[in-house]
Amino acid sequence: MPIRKVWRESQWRFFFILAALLVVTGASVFYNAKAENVVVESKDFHEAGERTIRGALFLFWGFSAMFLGLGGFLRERAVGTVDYTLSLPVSRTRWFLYRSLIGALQSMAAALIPALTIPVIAALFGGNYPVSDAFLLGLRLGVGGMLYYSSGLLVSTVFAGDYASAGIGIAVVFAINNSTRVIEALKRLNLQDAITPPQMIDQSTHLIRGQMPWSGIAFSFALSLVLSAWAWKVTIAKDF
Amino acid sequence: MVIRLNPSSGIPIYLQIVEQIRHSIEIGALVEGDQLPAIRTLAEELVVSPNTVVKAYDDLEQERLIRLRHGAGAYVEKGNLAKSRLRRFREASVVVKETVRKLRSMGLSDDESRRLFEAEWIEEAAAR
Amino acid sequence: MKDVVETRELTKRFGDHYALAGLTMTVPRGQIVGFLGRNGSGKTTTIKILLDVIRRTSGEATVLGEPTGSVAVRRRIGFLGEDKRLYSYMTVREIIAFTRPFFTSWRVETETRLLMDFELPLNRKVSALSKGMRTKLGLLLNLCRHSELLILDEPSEGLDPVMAEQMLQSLVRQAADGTTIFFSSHQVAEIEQIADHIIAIEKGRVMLEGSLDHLRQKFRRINLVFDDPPPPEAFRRDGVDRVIVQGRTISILASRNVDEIAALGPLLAAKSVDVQSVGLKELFLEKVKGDHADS
Repeated sequence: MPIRKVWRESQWRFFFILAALLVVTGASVFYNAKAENVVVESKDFHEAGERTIRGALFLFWGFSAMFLGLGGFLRERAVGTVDYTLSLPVSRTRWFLYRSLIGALQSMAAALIPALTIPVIAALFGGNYPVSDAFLLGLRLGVGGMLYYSSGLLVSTVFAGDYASAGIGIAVVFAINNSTRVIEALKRLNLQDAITPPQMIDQSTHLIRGQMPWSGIAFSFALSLVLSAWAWKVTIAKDF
Repeated sequence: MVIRLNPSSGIPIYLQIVEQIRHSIEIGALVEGDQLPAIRTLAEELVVSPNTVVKAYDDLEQERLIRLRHGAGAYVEKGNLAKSRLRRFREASVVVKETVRKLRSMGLSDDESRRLFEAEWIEEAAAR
Repeated sequence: MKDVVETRELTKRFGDHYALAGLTMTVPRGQIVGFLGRNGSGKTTTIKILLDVIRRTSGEATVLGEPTGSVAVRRRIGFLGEDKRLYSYMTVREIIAFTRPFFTSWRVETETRLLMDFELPLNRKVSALSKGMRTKLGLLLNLCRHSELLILDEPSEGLDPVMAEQMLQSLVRQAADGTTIFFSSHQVAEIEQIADHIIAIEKGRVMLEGSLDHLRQKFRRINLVFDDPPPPEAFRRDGVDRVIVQGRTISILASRNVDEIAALGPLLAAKSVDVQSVGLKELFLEKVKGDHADS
């Protein structure tokens, strides 16, 4: 089945990335909890958790999602199997759909699963971090940050070579993050703020309070769809 | 029946097959009633296109040297002597044509050539 | 449909280089067709266009009556590329199981027979197969489809003589079942052995085309020996393709009027006249040289 082939070709990369993100998440939670120099109290994991999702997880996941977008026919051409794959009675659009959907689901899982381990870690140490917070923040990360994934998708359809596409993808993620942090005019587009806007988090409890603005995330998600469509257009027109 | 082919010679392979099968029949290596391999089998054995074998068998069938039976291969037929003779005449005329051309290019007139032939035949007959 | 592949003025440009410069050819159904050409003449480019791996610049190309790019047509054809690379992480069993469902004409008896004939170990990963075994696997994945058309790009590339012969034999067997075979090669010998029809390509255009037997019966080499050879112009006549002077010998490649041309010998006082058949290699090389001489 074509979809199984696509999954198989990406599964180890996905598991590796997921494992790495779990380590990063765990380390960050402990680092943040200890930084306050307080022994486990239920409140500490709230701050540690929120900071982790907003900080370490956001940063590392952004690059990871981009990596999960790499691959595709250019990769197959480098390995030599593109002729075989394209000679099968499966359209390029169908292959692209399978690859992009599986990759998107993997990105989502790579955001949600580490986020959801935070309540688990907290509970293991007698603390607490609400599952609903973890879930919602993880979900927002996955949806809002789909832009990183789509960047990887687009970069890998245009640039051949594992190192070239990874390098350019990394540069793109950097550009997205830093330009929106540094350049005044672009500060409104900062993804970190779109995903966990300050007004959404209670500054004393470090928990979600009140309304959850979706417009920022919706905008970045829409942008990711545009990039994905672009990647599709390139794929169906390209000579392999 | 051993068939050895030379695909690079410039002579169509089917003609080579026809020639060799005909030769086998003429010298008695194949006799009336002998079965020839099915088209597909011979093609695989010789590693040539099945169309080539079809052409060869068709030619042989036209010369009444073999008869094709649907799905049951091909068989060597009787009644081949008469056609063989016609074949031989055709081949002989090619030899004559070439010899005439050669003699003319050597500068001999047709009369001189004819005299050479007559001399040869008389000598042959006298020797017997 | 009479022709399984048809191209008309097919061109492909890479930058300012034209890999194909107006290729017009047809592949007749039910035949074994050899696609002959030098390296870089456009053979692989043509095949990639037929499979829609690369897109043409202009002109037309159809496979089984449909324009290239039709997904439905790919269910009815087979393809073995030059690279012969397959998914390295799959085992032989897995890649067969992966490929089988795509093709409704797949025959399991063929699969069983070929697995045995080719001695392919079901549980071995493709990455652990030798080149010869990979080729056999690629061949199996195609032959089991029993497709209407089988396209191969340099099928015996990298194979030892025994395997190459086995490969040709498998193709012949497939042809006997009705599959049209279209294979490219720069090895004249194997084309001469199994092809019914040939298409010779040079610099992105068809240089020579026709039934191989027809070409064999049509072309002749006429060697005339003179004490004092006349100039080549003396032999320019309808049917003369090339005239080469080699010392006292005038060698003529003729495609028509062989008798008339041979008669020039005695007419011009040749010491000897010799008419020979021409093999495909010789014909191809002469045509290529002639092509270059003209341009």
